[in-house]
Amino acid sequence: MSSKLRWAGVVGAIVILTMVLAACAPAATPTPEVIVETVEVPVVETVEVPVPVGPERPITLDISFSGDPPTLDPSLATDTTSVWVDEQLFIGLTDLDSETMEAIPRLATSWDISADGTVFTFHLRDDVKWVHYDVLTDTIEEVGPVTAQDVVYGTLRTLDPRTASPYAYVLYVIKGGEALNTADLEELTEEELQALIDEVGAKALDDYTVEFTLEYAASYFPQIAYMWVMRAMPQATIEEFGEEWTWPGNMVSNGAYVLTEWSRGAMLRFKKNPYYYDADKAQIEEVVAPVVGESSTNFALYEAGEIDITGDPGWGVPLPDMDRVRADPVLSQELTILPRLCTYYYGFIHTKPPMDNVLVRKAFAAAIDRVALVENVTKGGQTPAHSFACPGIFGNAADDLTIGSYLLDIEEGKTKAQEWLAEAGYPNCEGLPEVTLMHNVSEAHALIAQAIQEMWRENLGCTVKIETMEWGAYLGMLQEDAPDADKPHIFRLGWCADYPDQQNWLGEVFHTTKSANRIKLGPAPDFDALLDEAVLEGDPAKRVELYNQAERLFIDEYMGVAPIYYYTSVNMFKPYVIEHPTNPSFGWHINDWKIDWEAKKAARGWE
Amino acid sequence: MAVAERAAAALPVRKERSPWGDAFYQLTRNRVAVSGGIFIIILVLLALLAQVVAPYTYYETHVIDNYMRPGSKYSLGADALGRDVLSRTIYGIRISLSVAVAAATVSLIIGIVYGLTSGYLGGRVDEVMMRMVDFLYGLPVIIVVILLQVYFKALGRREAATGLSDLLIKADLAMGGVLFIFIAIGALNWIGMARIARGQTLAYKEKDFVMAARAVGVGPIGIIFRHLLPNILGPCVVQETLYIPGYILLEAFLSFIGLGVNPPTPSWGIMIQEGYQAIRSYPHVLLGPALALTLTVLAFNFLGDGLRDAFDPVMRGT
Amino acid sequence: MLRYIVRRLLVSIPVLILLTFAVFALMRAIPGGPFDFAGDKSLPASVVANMERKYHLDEPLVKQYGRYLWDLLHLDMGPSMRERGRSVNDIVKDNFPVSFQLGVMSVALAVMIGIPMGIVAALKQNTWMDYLATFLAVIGVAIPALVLAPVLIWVVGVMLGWLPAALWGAERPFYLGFIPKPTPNFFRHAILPVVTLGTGFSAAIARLTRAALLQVIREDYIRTARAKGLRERVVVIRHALKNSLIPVVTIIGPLFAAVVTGTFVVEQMFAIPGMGKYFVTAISQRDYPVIMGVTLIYATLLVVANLMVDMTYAWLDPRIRYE
Repeated sequence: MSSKLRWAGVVGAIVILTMVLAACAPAATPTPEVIVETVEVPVVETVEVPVPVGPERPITLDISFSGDPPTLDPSLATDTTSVWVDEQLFIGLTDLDSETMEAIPRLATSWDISADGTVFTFHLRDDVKWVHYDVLTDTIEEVGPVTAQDVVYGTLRTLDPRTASPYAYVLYVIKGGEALNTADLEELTEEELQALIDEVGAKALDDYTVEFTLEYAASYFPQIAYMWVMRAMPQATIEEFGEEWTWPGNMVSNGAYVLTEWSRGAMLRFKKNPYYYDADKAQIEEVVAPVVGESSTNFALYEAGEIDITGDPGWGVPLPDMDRVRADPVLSQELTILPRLCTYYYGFIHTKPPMDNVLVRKAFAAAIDRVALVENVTKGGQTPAHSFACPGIFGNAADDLTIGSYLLDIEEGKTKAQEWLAEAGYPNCEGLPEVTLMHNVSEAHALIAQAIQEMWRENLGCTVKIETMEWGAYLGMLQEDAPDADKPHIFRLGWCADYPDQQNWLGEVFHTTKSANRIKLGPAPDFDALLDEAVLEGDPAKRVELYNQAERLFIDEYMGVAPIYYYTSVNMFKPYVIEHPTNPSFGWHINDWKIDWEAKKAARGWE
Repeated sequence: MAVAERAAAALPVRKERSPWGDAFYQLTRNRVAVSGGIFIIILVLLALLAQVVAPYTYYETHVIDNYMRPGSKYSLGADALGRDVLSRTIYGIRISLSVAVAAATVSLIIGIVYGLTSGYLGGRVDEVMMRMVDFLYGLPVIIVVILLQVYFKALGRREAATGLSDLLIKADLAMGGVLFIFIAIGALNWIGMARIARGQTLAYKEKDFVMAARAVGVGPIGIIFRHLLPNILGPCVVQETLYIPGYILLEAFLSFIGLGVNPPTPSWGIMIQEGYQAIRSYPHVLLGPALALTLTVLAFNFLGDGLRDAFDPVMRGT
Repeated sequence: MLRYIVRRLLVSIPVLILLTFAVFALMRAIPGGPFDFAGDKSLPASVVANMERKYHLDEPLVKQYGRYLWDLLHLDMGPSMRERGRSVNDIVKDNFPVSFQLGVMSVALAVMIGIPMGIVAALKQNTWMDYLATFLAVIGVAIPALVLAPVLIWVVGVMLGWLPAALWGAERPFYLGFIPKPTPNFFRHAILPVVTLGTGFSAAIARLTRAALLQVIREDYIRTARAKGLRERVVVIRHALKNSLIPVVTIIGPLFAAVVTGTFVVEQMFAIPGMGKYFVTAISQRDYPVIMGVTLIYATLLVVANLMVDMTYAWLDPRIRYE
């Protein structure tokens, strides 16, 4: 018996040792979230919300995130989840009107433009405050005013090569921005780097006035000023905490809500900022958002009543459920389809035969039945696309149906496609070398690709081979400098607006010599010339005309890509979410939303 | 005398059987195992005759009919692109079976070669080889399989590759992306097989008939191929059969995370991955492949169990 | 005995290091890096160069590996390259306990259901109880979690509404870093995922138990025990079971390690914030330190689990000795 006890002891000791070892993996620095007070709500659907103030349950909105935001730092944010959070936490210089997508005042009450259009002077509000949330006491305290210096700091920080911001390129329109951001840190001394920083055209004239000098007269600059990469950032906090300044407890923010919890990969929580200048108009007091990575699970949670909305920042309605939702008398009322500023397209490698022949490209583009695709495969109320920039982008040609008209009607498209293919020397697809279509691994892309593969088979007589590749390798393979032999003939991509102007679309994506994106298409000097002219043009009407011509060239002359559809976002809102203003760009302002609180409590069985 | 003769005549004469025949006899008595075996034979036949049996091809889409429920047009319903679930399930047999059999074969061959060599040579060599196996045993197989798959898929586009890799890539593409999967799976699962093969080799090495063969002057090659191999093959094959359901499920998992076959090749794994999201609205999409997967795994399990029982001398007594 | 354990652990250290090298090499062989893209957009070359410099990816590979090993010696598994500002240690500290909770409960369920089921099937061989148990066991093995999870979520969570459809109900902070507060909320959330994971394993355990017990029961010493007049229960539990548990324990070891480090599918389906997803997403995101760290943890757990399995052998079968 004693030897048995000894065994048990040894085994038990090993078990405990393992568990202790596993649990005590040393952290670099203690992270504040560990000290999250236990009064906080469990990660769960029955929200027994803690009540620091008063006996009432605070008015809460339950949403979900489609994935853990990789970062909340405005300089580094690229993911929609990150940007959504940053919209609540940090105020932009401007905001975007949800109908016209034009810039409207936010942090800046107004702005002046110099005569030559290269200098923008923004006048800021003086009642915006930096606030800090203390995790231990669960209180929000005011830290100081948001000033012009903070805006300048934020801009410079994004451009600083040491920050390694993925989105810095949208700020290259600012004078000295590109020079600073592309500087080689190895070569420079401290002084030289500082000199470059000082060269950048962002200056605080006084506490509430910021002046930006641009490389050229870009009339769309106020829309860039909306972007999170240019927002006021808290210098002292960032310098103190470094990469950890976005943890709750460290973070200092100025938006309508503060971040009270961020359990990585699990949960985010927000609380209303009482010092926000419009705080009395914000009804929702708390936001609870678990991270739900699986879209069918997300929808199950919505149907079970555990979350209040389906859609950004969480998953939208899963494709297979669209029919059922549309047919259901209750669910169909809750369905709202909103435009999204993105276009789905199939690109061509213009240097790889037979795609070097514009007739072949046009044939393949025309042989896709976009209407059937949108109705039967994607089902999200998307709009078939015949031009690159989608509606809502300044300078888009989406409603000019003379551009690429054959892309929208399959009868016309099929006929023309067969003609073009024959003209190119491949009647009925005879003699056409084998064509490969590639897309990154994703179920949705796979479905679309297979449907289109069938369409090509049926309408052209061409058998196209589909290959998939994992995202990382996929992008690497598509780079300009990667060998053509590795590339497919047709590839799938999408483009979403950074800011809603054609410069960000045709300009930054497809300009054949200047575009910052690495995936380049074939040479087209007249197209480039139009884009160059449009960037510098001051008159908006003229710009629209120029971009219109550019789209026409892009599609009818060159068929640079085959646009497929303009995205939508498919959302559902519970009936008790009575006001939910949304915006086709990023991030909705929760402070503008309203809930019928009594109805929600009744629906949840609370109180 | 008459009594003795009548007594002798009354005793049934037991038929002479070889060990293999004995095992087969045992097997046939096991109804469950037999049903498993019959099911597998049916699967193989369906796979071979898919073009004849399946009402549609596996790739033709009828987008208008997307998600149509089972009925006169599609017996098991249609999937998201209007493809017939039944036909795709039947064609899917090919993928699942070929992954399973190929991975099993690869792992069987490597495992037996390794285990046999190690067991036969014994001594230092055996120790070293087994240490290596122990090391590999501690490998998290899933991670390595995923890594290999990602590597292969990334590799897949390098047409400038050298002879062998180029051949492999072409073969893989021709098979819809299956080749690399079972190389990845088979290349890692031989470890268990090696241990078993070695164990069996050690057991048989000391047997009398081997010593007799050696005494007669049979060389090592002869010993290995004519005496050891046939004896260890049995238990090893049986064991491998029991691993097959695991391979099929592993392929389903790889397809789920997007590292499986290329569309539109239908594997049950991919069909389940495409279908599980629709489980609330259109459960029929999942029914075909899930049922097929479950039944196949069951069949291999039953057959494997039966084989093992049949070969087991202890069981034979009962 | 202790010497044996220590020796085993020491021997596994070079093995683990070799493993990190293998993973390192394989990961670097895969084209693409962690900074090539952000979401849907590919990044300008200058930005990528800057970021690679920041994380020392521009240094020669040998130097990078050496740097990694050096940090490892200080128990620092490096920074995550995709989740900026978070180290691998942080990720493990946050996510591993959740996987551990899920895993332990699943294995416990599997053992608690599987072993009795196997015993019943073996003792009542060829009766309807045996067939039922075997049938359930094999079904459990054959239905992948991939199918079971959404069925449970939709049927039990949404349509019937008996249990929460998803999410993990453990409140932080955990005791000792990994033990959650045993609130009813926690258990309500845990039931569906644990059942999903546990059924497959319980089936495997049941089959093994049955097979092993069937063999052991025919042994002579069992007949002796029965002949001695001992009660059936004593015969089974005291004598037969211990020996038949050996093959079961064999698979519980690696099973435990696999489950605990998080099964990707169950965690993904039920939105459970465990470590499972890192196995897959870190590879596709090329987050090198995370993959190495996660692999290392998995391998270490396997080593420990195998060691414990061997220890349990010795406990079960006194003939086995280690020095």
